[in-house]
Amino acid sequence: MSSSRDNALAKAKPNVTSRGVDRSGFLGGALATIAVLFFLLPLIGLAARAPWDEPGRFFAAPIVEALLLSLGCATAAAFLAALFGLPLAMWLAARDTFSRRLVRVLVTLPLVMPPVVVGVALLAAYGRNGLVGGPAADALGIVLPYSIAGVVIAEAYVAMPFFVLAAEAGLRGFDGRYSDVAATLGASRWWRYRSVVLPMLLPTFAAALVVAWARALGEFGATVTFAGNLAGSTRTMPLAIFVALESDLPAAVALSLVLVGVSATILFCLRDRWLPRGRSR
Amino acid sequence: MTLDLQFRLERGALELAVDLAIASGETLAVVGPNGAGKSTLLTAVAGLLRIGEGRIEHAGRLLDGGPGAGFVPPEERAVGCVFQDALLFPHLTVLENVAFGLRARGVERPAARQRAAERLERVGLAEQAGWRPAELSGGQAQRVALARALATDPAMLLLDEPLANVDATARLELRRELQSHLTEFSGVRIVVAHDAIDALALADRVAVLEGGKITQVATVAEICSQPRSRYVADLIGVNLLRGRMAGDRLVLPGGESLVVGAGYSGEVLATVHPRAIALYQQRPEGSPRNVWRATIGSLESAGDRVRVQLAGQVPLVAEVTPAAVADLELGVGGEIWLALKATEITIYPD
Repeated sequence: MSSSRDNALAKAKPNVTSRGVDRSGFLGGALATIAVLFFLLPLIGLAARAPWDEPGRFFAAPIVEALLLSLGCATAAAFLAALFGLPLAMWLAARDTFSRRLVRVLVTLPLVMPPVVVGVALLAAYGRNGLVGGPAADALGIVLPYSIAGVVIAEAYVAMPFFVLAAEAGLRGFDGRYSDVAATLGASRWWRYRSVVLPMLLPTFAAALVVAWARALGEFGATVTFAGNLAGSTRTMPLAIFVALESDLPAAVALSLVLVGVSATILFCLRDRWLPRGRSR
Repeated sequence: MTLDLQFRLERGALELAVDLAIASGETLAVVGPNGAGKSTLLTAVAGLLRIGEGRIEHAGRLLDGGPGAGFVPPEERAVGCVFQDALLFPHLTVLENVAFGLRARGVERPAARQRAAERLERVGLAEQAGWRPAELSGGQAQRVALARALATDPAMLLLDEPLANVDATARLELRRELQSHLTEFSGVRIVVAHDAIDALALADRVAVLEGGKITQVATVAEICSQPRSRYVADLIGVNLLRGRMAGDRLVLPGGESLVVGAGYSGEVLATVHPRAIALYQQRPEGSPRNVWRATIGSLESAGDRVRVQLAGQVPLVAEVTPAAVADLELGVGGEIWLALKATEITIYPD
């Protein structure tokens, strides 16, 4: 509950219009154009170098195999990140204490760690001779490295911070008064959560999920270190591209183009439903 | 059935102390300056905030007995709340918003929608049932919020500045509508109001809350005729003086005195209507017993009148016509004679 004065302040907050920022002038316009070209040219380069005369190469069995593996693992990693990341984000957003701040730093760490280091660290913990991995393999026969599960674990490790931070920001921005109103209307804690908080935050969580998914899809370093590069079982698209680069450049370009095309299509399809669309909304 | 409030609570810099009883079928307006604790009071009654000590009881049922004692959470209190921002759930349609409380209480969807549709009809928004809250005007949103609050047939209706964010034209009509909904509702009604007209139009009784304390609880008529604080006096637009009777004179704390007539004694309050104060360029000769010279502090237009702030012996506000301002050549800083008949001063015990 905020006092009436807080509300008045909130009401008085000026509406930021796009005109406010669009005063870049000539120099700004030129720099922005360079930025667009900077992003666009590599994509044009890919398209220019692609083996268009051999369309079969885009649908070669190894490509399809790696693509399906990539999509499957990234999706699994994103949902894994959401499953454990959402409760964590809720805990982080609930209060600001020293322990929570500490945990937040921990969660943020994978963002600044080189992915190879993540892979080495994962091996040290969950590897065949790792801290947890050793006993787990001996007692339960669970071996993560060099398996599909290992790919998912490596991708989830690097993708989870993206989900947690985005979800926490959304939770923090949630206006608790909606939950209060629901309570006065007779809604139990669970009902308030189920029919007010979650649905109102769904777009935020979905956007967080997509960002985590995109990060997992492009994951290379941690995956190759922890899960290896076994064709047919752990060779995801980025790994396949790297391998192809050494022997068959047109194949690498074809793989890259397929990966860009598929992820761009998926992002575009989700855009209307889930992703923030700037100020027009 | 009454709502008994007798509690204290601290929240930030605010120390709220309340001792009030509100009967079913009665509308109590809570007025007071910003930050006086009006909204906090409602929040405590709704159960969204726990009290520090004391008790909140409705119809003999203890809702909050302070720390360690019983506490009924908001969802079990049978309250209906309307806040100044309507706070309609943006992801639900208007109809689903109104049906929300019924659904939360376990009413099946078809029945809840049926009853919600009836409620919407009563606030005149049946056609907007399928709309999203973002498509409604401010006044419409508050009507939906009211329908949503009433849909669960609560025992208490709590309105927190329901007209604050409604534009002036819609306000008049919404106030009238609110009035009829309030009279139809048989439970306890509390309306927090910032605007004097809202409070006086909607309420049976008025509680004045200043700095976390209740400074006056009285009927609307009494509040208007015998205000007890500067805040209320300003709200209803009269001058308020506090002093001590000596014979037929009222002696103010500064030592100045006014002739007010015999028949009173001790500590008293006096009100003077701004229109009862007459202004002259020359010292007036005649019946008024109180005549003195004052400096004009400020002039401000108030509708078809001009309010003249008078500094000097006794600080007062006079109301004159714009024509008089011109005739008397009134200007800020200028000197003027003023006259006040003893019979225009209303005296009542402090």
